[in-house]
Amino acid sequence: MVHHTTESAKPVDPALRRASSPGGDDADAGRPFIVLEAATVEYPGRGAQAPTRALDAVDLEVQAGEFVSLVGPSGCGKTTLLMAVAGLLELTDGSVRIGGRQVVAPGPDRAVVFQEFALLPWRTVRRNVEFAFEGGELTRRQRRDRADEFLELVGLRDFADHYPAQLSGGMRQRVGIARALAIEPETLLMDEPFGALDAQTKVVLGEELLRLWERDRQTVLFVTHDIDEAIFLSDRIAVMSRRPASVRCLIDIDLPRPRPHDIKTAPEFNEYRQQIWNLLHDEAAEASREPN
Amino acid sequence: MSPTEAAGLAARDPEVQGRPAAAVRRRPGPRQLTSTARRLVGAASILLFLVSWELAGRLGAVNPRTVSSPSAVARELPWLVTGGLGQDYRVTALAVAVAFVGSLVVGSFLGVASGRHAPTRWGMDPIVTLGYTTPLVAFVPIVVLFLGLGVPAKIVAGFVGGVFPVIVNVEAGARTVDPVLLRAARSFGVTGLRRVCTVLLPSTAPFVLVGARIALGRVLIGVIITEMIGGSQYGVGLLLIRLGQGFQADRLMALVLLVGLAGTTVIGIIRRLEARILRWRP
Repeated sequence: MVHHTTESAKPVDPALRRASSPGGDDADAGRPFIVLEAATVEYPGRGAQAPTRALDAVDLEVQAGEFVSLVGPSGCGKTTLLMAVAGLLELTDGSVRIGGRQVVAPGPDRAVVFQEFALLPWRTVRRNVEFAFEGGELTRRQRRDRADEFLELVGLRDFADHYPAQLSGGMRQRVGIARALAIEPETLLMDEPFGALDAQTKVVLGEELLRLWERDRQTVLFVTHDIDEAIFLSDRIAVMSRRPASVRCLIDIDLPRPRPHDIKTAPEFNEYRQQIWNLLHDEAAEASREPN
Repeated sequence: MSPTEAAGLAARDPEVQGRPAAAVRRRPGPRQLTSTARRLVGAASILLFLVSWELAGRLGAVNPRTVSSPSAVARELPWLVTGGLGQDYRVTALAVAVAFVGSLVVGSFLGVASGRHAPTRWGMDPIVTLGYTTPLVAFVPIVVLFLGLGVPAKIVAGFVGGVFPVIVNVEAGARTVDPVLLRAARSFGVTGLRRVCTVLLPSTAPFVLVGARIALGRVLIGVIITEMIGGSQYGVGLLLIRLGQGFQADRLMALVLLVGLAGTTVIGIIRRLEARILRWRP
């Protein structure tokens, strides 16, 4: 098997490089927080079929408080990687460590935002946020207050008694985000959270996500296939190869924060876009010729 | 959902703006007309049946002594109240209620277990298939043999009737639970019985309700048949068999009508419940 190379791209404009690392004067800053070592996932084949390798010895290090996006051709295993970090999927080989501890199961230090929102349709918005505490020991009153607090944060306080079916896609995912934030996780794992939304809503929610993230600076792993979205949001972008996925290239996004929405028209933004697109193009072309 | 309920929903959600669905629901016009028409046709068909029945007797096509007639049944209706049947009603209603609720609760949990856990399903499948397809009547002598004549035998016979359709339906529902919801539950540490109560059972609620409707009919059959075999001193089944043997066709028909209406009422309640429980549906 050919071993992949991991290279870090040169910053486009050194003047844009941020003075401090994400997380500010956090004691952990600079030490990797999430560490994947040769993380490998194989799905068993059906009958006589050979097993499918979804992740191929992925190495990745993410700093505490860093916002890292995973981009790559569709079906390449980005989601598999995220689910492995969430503890929702067992590795066939290798390891995932967070803060030095091996990930073996989901934990309250991590929260997942799903592409399909994953809201309980029979529960109101408020009760959906409360679902995050279902595994814990909070009293009814505490759950309700916390849920309202986080609904306020995503601007849905007035819709607490609505059912998901009564909301737009963007509002539903706000509920998903409120639910994830409500357990105050150190790590936020987002699986194409805005993939099912229209272009405008996507942009608006991206901006809101940044606003919320800049407040608490969780460590974020964000899966997307939208290059602009990845550049706009991230500190670093991991470009994945086609299946079986490995990290082909890590790109530092040295754009100042907070990022204005018109940054997407800046020349350096465009250079990142070009660079990532070139990397992805070959992979995507190859991937599109393979069975899923 | 009935128009009044829909209007109620819309009224409670004044903040929802620009939702075409709400606007459409608020307009009563053609939908109300259809529901009125439906009721009229339904009433007309019952009327037609009663008139034919009455005429068949009067014109000598059938013997009113054995098949009774609507007017004779109507004359016996007060007897249902004044005939000192209270204890019979109570005993039967109690047995039906216990057997019905029991088969719903037990059937739901077994159905979820069977739907979510393959080895459990492999173990349960043969028994459930056998239990569901064997004519319920065949179980009754066995139950009476085991438990003797009395209320427990009726309850068990009703339960045996009701539990299998609930299991079969809930199992089908539990197998179609959205895997994303299960993933979300796991990611928030919701497991075990909590997961069953917060995700699996609510997801399968529509299937539980379908199972409930089928179960109710079978529970009634189980209880009444056991009573007919001589299950106890009191009971509607016992009354029915005695009236039949005593050639009291008019009272027999009146009582059958009552049993039918009681069953229909409970089904109506389940439907109402369904609308309430599933009001989150768009």
